[in-house]
Amino acid sequence: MTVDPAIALAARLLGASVFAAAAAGKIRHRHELAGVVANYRLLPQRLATPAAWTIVGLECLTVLSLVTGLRLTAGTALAIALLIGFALAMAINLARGRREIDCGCFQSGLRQRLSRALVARNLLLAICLTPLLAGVRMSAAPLQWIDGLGAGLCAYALYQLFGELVSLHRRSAELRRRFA
Amino acid sequence: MLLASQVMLWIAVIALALAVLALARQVGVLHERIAPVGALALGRGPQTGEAAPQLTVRTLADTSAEIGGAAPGGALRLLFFVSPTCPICKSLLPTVKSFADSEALDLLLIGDGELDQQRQMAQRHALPLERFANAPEAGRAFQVAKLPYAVLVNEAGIIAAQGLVNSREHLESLMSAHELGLRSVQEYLAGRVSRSA
Repeated sequence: MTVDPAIALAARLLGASVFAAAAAGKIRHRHELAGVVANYRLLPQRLATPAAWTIVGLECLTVLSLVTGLRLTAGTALAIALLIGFALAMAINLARGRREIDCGCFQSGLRQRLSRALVARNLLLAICLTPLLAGVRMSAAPLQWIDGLGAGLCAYALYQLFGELVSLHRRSAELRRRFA
Repeated sequence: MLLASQVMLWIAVIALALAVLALARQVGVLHERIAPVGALALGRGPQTGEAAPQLTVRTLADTSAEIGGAAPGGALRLLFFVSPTCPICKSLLPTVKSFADSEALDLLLIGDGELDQQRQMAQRHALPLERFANAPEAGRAFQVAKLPYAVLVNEAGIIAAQGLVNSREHLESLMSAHELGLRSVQEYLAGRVSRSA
């Protein structure tokens, strides 16, 4: 069974841009990266730096696979594994009550704290990528290219918007508390 | 035909999504701007909590005015350092006047510059001449390095709050600092950071 090429294109574009932005953000904030990973308190302190760079490396591999279409099934599986891994790491820290640590998303200048919304976002993204696991027909008609790329770009903008709205929601809650 | 219309539709949808994203970012920026603002204490000269330097200065009405010293039963005193050559001082003068009125503060403007220019400034803003002193020595005593600078002195002659002010929020932060017993916005923010860490 194969998925419609338009859906596959959209999923590949969405996944590739999300991971490219994530890797770029991590590289831009490389000095804080190890600290952010260590803050999750899931690994021994001395493993924080190698773990951080492994994550960045895996993210780059995912982007490569999703963009070029090489070993797409493996690349997609890796992407989904990363997303679920991040979601788990956040969920564990939320369960520990450590919601104040930085999520390490590095998507805006603002520090973004952990929240259930971010866990849900990761799981939703993982679901969006699952069609690619079913195998993809590489040939697409022009209309499918247009639909696929349009939907992918749009989904990426909505993904960014979601992150923005989550941090806005938190800030308004803070403001309400302050003026209560 | 179908291709072209599809392209146009996607362009419209993506543009809208980006527009909403940009709006959300802007709201975020606004939130950032309304983070607590306050007068910036410059950390030189007599510090908050210390006695204000005592001096007698001549006002533009040729009367004398006291700076510092105890004034039992008196109001809080607001010293506002200005200069005719400082544009932001001029734009802030009406605000300072209304702020001092609403908080029932005893306002004394202290200038440093040409006497004529200061008279003109006082007239333009309808400032009472007996509450406006040309006293560079006061600026030196408080070691005012940047203008407009405001100092709040309590009835015991102690500096209750002070700092560089650029807006009404900054002026109000002086009152809040006085009421909360904090010395500056830096101290408030430091307390906030250490609480949230």
